[in-house]
Parts: sequence; C-alpha cells; structure tokens
Amino acid sequence: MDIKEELTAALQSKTAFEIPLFGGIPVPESAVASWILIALVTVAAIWLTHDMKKVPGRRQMVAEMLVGFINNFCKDHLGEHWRTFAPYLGTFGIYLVLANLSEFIGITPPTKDLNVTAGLAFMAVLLIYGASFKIKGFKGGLHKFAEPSPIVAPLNILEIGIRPLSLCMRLFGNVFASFVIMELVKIVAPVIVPIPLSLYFDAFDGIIQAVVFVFLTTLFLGESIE
Amino acid sequence: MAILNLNAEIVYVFINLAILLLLMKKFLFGPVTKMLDERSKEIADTIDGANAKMDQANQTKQEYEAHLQNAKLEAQAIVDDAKKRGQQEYELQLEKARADIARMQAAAQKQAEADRAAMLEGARKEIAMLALLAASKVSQQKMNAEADRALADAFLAEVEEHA
Repeated sequence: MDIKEELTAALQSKTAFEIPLFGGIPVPESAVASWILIALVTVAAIWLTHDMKKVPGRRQMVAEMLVGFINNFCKDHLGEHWRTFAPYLGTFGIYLVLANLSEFIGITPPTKDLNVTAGLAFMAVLLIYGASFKIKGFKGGLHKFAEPSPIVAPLNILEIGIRPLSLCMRLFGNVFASFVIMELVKIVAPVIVPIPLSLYFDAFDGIIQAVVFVFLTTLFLGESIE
Repeated sequence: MAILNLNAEIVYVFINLAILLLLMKKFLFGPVTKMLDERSKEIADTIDGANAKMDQANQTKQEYEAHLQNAKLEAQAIVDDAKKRGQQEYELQLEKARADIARMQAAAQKQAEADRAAMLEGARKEIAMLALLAASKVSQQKMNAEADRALADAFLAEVEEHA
C-alpha cells in the first residue's frame, strides 16, 4: 500500500506554481522543465555558434556536425524542400532528446506529461498537413487525400487523427513506462541498481523515442509534399 | 492533478515549442547553415577558379607551342634562303673567276703569239741583213780556198756573235 501511494504520487503531473492573474493561472511542472531546457539549449547554441569563422574551431565543428547531420537527414528524405523544414525537425529532435534525458539532471521529463506529447504530436501533424497545403496548393493538398487511389480517401482522412494519436501515445507510453519502472526500481533498490537500468530506460529508450518521433514526422512530411 | 491529463495547459507546449523553434532558427540552424552554404560555395568557387586557370594555362601553352613551331619554320626558311643565296653568290663568283682566268689566258696566249711573231720577224730581218752583208763581203774579196775558209769562218763567227 505504501509503494502504491508513493508511485501514484510520483506519477502525478503536478502544478509548479500559479500565476496570480485572473484568479490564478496554473503553470504545470512540465512547462517549467521545458523553460529550463529551452534556456539551456539556447545558451549552448549561442556558445557554440558565436564568433563563427570560415575555418571552424572545435566549438563550431560541433555545431556544424549537429546541423549538418539534421540538414543531410532532411535532404535525404525531403529533397529540395529541406531548407524550410530542417529547423522544425531539428527543433523537435533537440527538444525530445533533451526532454527524455532530463531525468539525468534531476528534472522530471516533460514528455511524461501527456499534454506535452499531445502538443508535440499536434504540432507535427500541423506541420505535415500545413506543408502539404502550402507546397501543393489548396487543390493539390486536397488531392493528396485521394492518393494513390480515391478508394483510400477515407483512410487518409482518418490518418489525420491516427497519426498524431500514435505519435503522442508512443512517446508518452515509452517515457511514462520507463518512468514507472525506474520509480519502482528506486523504491526497491535505491542505490547502484538503478544506474544501468536508468541508462537503458532513460538514455537509450529516450533517444530511440526521440529519433522515432522525428523520423516518422519526416517520413509523413516527405510523403505529404512529394 | 492527474496522470493522464490532457487539458488547456497544452497551450504551454505550443508556446514553448514556438519559442524554442525561433531561438534555434536564430542561434543554431540559421547561422550554421549559412556558414556551411558559404563554405561550400567558396570551395566550389575555388575549384571553378582553379579549373579556369588550368584551361587558360593549357591554352597559353598551346599558343606558345604554335608560336615555337612557327618560329622554327621561319628560322628554317631563313637558313635555307641564306644557303641558297650563298650558293648562288659562290657560283657567280666562281663563274666570274673562271671567265677572268679564261680572259687572262687568252690575253697571255695572244701576247706570246705576238712576241713570237715579233721575234721571228726580227730574226728574219737579221738573217736577211746577214745574207746581204755576206753577199757584199763576197763581192768585195777575191775568193780562193784559203780566203774562202777564212771568210766562212769569219761569217760563222759573226753569226755566232750575233746569235
């Protein structure tokens, strides 16, 4: 009974504080965690890319490798439109990797909050269909739903809902499950044992899920604009 | 306060992601992509420039080779011309020299013939004179055997003296 209560408490998505306006606007913990991550990654980005030269130093090499990797990934899957979408997909990737790994710096992963994964999935789908209509035009975007054959149009329409749902639930399920497992392990064996398990459940699975999310988004996007 | 909470707080996610996207665009993807583009452009420019220079160098080389070929031909032509002219001059001089020699030989021969003719003429005159002299001597002296011999001897001596 003790363990159950402890676990339930740990799994709650808590409100960090309330902004005392209009009778109190709640700010969830995940938002605060996101702000910290955003601040960290922005500082890191500025540090990596300030004072860039034609002949790169070590800092600049790191930034160029990261951006070059994302750019090449987008070039491979999106072709000529990579320039437009690389920053979006790169931002998703960076945010997800950091969010899933934030357990290591003592922050509850924001991706454990269903709101966050739902929001991410919603934005990914917005990007996918937005890009389709923007690049193909209104008619072309609509025509995309009748491809490869008009018979599959209902399925394509259903996909508008299925895609974000699957993206959202896959990510949330993985992070949530690993969080639950790690909490249980910590309750049973608080020292040494959680280290290798944490490396697997938090680091490995976290990175895999980030990659899967970005990869699927890129595939859907490539399909929608081709 | 729930485990599966999907509510209005999702707005925070949209705002946060939008902010993060703008920041990443401004501080990471924008400048780095720009730098990568600039660098690849510079590399492409450098390679193009090198190729252009190489082409130019090749062209110049071909031009020089053509010039060299021309110069060689010209030099050959000049040398040939000079040889021909030298040969002509040589032959002309030789011809002249031959003509001179022939002329001189002819003159010498003529001179010699003239000399001989003059000498023969002189000799003939002298013989005639001697004959006359001898005749006059004979007419002045009565000839006997002794006198004849003396006269002949004197005549011969005279001839020898003259000769």
